[in-house]
Amino acid sequence: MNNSGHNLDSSEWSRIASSDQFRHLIAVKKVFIIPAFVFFIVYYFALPILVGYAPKLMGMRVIGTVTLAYLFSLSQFVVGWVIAWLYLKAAAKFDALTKDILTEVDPARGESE
Amino acid sequence: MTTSLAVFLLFVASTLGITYWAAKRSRGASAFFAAGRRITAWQNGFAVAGDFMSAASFLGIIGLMALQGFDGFLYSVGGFIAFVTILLLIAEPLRNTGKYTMGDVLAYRFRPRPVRALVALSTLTIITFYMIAQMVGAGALVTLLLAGSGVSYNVAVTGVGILMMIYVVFGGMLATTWVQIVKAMLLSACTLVLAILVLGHFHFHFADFFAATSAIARHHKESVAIEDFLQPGLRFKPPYGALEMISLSLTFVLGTAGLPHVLVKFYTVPDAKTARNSVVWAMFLIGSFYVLSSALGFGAGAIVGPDFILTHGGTNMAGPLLAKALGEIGRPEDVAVVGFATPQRCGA
Repeated sequence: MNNSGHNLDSSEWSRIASSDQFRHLIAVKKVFIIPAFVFFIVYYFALPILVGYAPKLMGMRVIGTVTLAYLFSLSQFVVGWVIAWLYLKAAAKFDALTKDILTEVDPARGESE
Repeated sequence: MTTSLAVFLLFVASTLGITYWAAKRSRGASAFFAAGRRITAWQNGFAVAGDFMSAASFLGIIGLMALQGFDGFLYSVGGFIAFVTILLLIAEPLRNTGKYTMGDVLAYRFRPRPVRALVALSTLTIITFYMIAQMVGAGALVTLLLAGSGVSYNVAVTGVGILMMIYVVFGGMLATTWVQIVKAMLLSACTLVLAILVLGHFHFHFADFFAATSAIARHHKESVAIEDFLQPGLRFKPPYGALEMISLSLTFVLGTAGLPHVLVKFYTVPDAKTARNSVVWAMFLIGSFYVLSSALGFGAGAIVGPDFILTHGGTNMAGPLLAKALGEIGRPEDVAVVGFATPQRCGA
């Protein structure tokens, strides 16, 4: 998929851009990326907002002296890693769809990708 | 400090060796500016992590936690979480659309000349501020390492600057990538060792470690106060603390994704898929590193103490002081200090 565009002329570009397959690829990407990004933003900003506006709640000791604020912060790392893992799985699907489109345009290139 | 000096010189020598090797291989623009686009995913992941976990970001964060507790940890969370933005929105389109810099991507859609001029201006502005912070940290560390040899702070900063220029001018992107890979490896290893030493200090009883963290004595003029470093609010206080935190989070999520020295790394890999995998590698490294940073930051607060840190170099010295303290309790002190300090040296 990389740099392969250099060998395409502009009519091929617009033909791909308007093809159903390409639209499907973009739609599939959006279905994953937009909800994932929105969830991540909401979950992440909950941290400063809660710590800032509900310090009593976040300062609550949950296990021994460990506070909710610290545990919530650690959960951000777990959420980040899980999103990365889910994205890798979803991206494998994007790659397969991209390959199909390229094969259609130029069978030789699609094979080599 | 003779061991420290030896290890430091060894690091300088090996990075210059890498630069020499890279300079011999460098032919043409793509080789010089993009390492020939042959960097693999794990290599680029380490290089991005090395770039990002720099003197200013890392030493500073440990210091913040050692002096202001939990609020400092928000910087660690932000530093990691920023890479989710890069993974989902930035890395792959950047690799697919551009050649050498982010300017290529913007020039693709807009009038190239004014856009490139503005991107260049923005890059130089960001890098200048970023570099000043790095040089301050690097200068302090080198002065610490060469303590007693009569090297002044000014000489240390100038020396570090010259060394960095040698890496970049002669070795190009290939040399800087490998220097950062070596640095990231050393830094990760040293952080792991220090975190284990901190927990070992509390006989691996997490409850004891957190109990010590939640009862840290601090002198205020005449009186002594016991502060809970696991509670929020020691740094970000009313009336504007909450807004400050939100603003900080916004800076991490959007700002990191625009750092020129991070973005430029995604042009060193062969394709978008490798760029994607390299971000995941970087997220694994940076995340583990920042989780451990809380052991180091809280550990420095609990073991060394904020009073001692403030009177012995301040925020940036919390990490090295922790390494030194753990060494004096019967650990290999010099290795820890150097291990901690050396890789930070070429932060930019």
